[in-house]
Amino acid sequence: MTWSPKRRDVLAGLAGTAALPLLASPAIAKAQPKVVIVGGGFGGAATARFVKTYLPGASVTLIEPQACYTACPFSNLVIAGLRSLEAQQFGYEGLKAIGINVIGDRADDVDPAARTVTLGSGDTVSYDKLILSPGIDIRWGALEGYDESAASVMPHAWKAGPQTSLLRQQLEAMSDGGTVIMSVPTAPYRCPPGPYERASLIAHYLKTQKPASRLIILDAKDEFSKGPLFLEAWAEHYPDHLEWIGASDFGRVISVDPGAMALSTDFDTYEADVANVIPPQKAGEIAARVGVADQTGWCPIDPVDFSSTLQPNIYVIGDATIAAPMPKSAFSANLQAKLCALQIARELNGETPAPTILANTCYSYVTPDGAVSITGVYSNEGGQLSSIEGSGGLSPANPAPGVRAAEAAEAEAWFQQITQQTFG
Amino acid sequence: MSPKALKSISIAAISAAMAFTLSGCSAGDTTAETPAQAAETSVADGDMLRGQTLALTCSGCHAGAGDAIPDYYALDRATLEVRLLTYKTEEDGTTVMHRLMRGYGEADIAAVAAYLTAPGEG
Repeated sequence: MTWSPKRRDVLAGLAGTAALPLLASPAIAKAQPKVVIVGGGFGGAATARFVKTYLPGASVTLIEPQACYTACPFSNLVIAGLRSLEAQQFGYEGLKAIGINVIGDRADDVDPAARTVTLGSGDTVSYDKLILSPGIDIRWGALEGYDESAASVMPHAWKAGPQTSLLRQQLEAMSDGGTVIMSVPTAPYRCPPGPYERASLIAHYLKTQKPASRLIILDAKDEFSKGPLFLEAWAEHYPDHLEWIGASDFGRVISVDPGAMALSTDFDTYEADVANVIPPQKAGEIAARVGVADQTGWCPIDPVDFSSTLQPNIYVIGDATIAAPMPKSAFSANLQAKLCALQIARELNGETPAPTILANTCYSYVTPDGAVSITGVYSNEGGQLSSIEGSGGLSPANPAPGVRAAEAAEAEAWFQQITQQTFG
Repeated sequence: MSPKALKSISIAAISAAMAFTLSGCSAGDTTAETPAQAAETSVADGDMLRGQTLALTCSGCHAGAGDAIPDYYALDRATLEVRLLTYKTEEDGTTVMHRLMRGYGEADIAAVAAYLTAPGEG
């Protein structure tokens, strides 16, 4: 069945049912609030669609410089040669079709007092409510030697697009017998299990296409998301092609030298034929300029409606937020978007947003046809997100036949649903 | 509140749906029928609002996603509620839904089931 904005989960109440009874009131229809969203990923695009659906009379504007979005989930399959980059790309026609104004420019700055966004063109857009979904940016230089030019030699591929293709091309060009090195930072960073899914799929590529080659993961941590399940899969599938070195074994990379293709830890220097440096990160650049990021580089929010605790009438969702234990994932960003849109609609209707329960599910491939998952359930009462005891957790270890394949099929279905819901 | 949203369930319906759920059918089956309703329970506005908020999570995966993830729109309220409660209480369950539903109380599960199966297609 095809999701559409006509479905009851977005239109209930507006369509005259009891689900959101007061939203259909004429006062809101006349108010025509101006809602502006910056960033067209899983958070921003979903916010735009759901605000427009909850508040059909609102003027909804999405500001996003890229003509199409390249999704990070499933992009590790592209790196391993198992999927095309085009399958990751989504345009904004689905947003325009329901009356959302999509501006193909970057948001340069925001004046919270005047409630205006300044575009790259110099034009300004005024708002009543501003939602920032800026994703992540790299903290260039936080890892010694890793600046923007280093990324063209040692790709991070942590924003999907040209970096994804570059890493893929480097793996293809590498001679058999080569060494691939991946550097992983400490938390917080986008997609906690992402490095380990990527490692699994690169190891699969090496095992099947370049069997004399191997991958070494140099990790700044001793424990990682879905760790027991990845370690189990690696021992089973890639014992000769993947080695993980944690912080206690001096796995933390402290500097890189792109000219020498070298990565140094406290103990050793590793030379790579292909180096994938996943660097320290922060909220997307605009967050700091607008004043919604704190000294950590990330954005504190009220978890009930994802309003910034630092600036009025501005909301922040997705990877840019401080929302732990909720992870920086596409699922989280999409859910935070929907919740933010609903709470804004309720607030404009004179209601007080109430706490609720949120959840997250992330799938990771461990082989091309097998996946594992992690789930979490969270309360946003008391001004913070907290895990609900006794819930969530990992796929079973040593599973019955078919469990990993079933979760891989779920992963594919999830990707189809969330991209359709987000981009139309 | 629209009378249409005052969808009723009965003990008989829950029993029938429970038997259906526990009989080993796949999660994709959607053919359970709700028997004639007896003891009616209505859903308060507040519960529908709560259900609407809670259900935002569900649509991250469900509806339109194909065979691997079932479409809850195809279920009736009692079937959906019992299925979710079963996920919550099956101690040896390891699926994503088992792990998720352990975080939800029974009242919230009822609110979600009521909201998702309420009439109101636009």
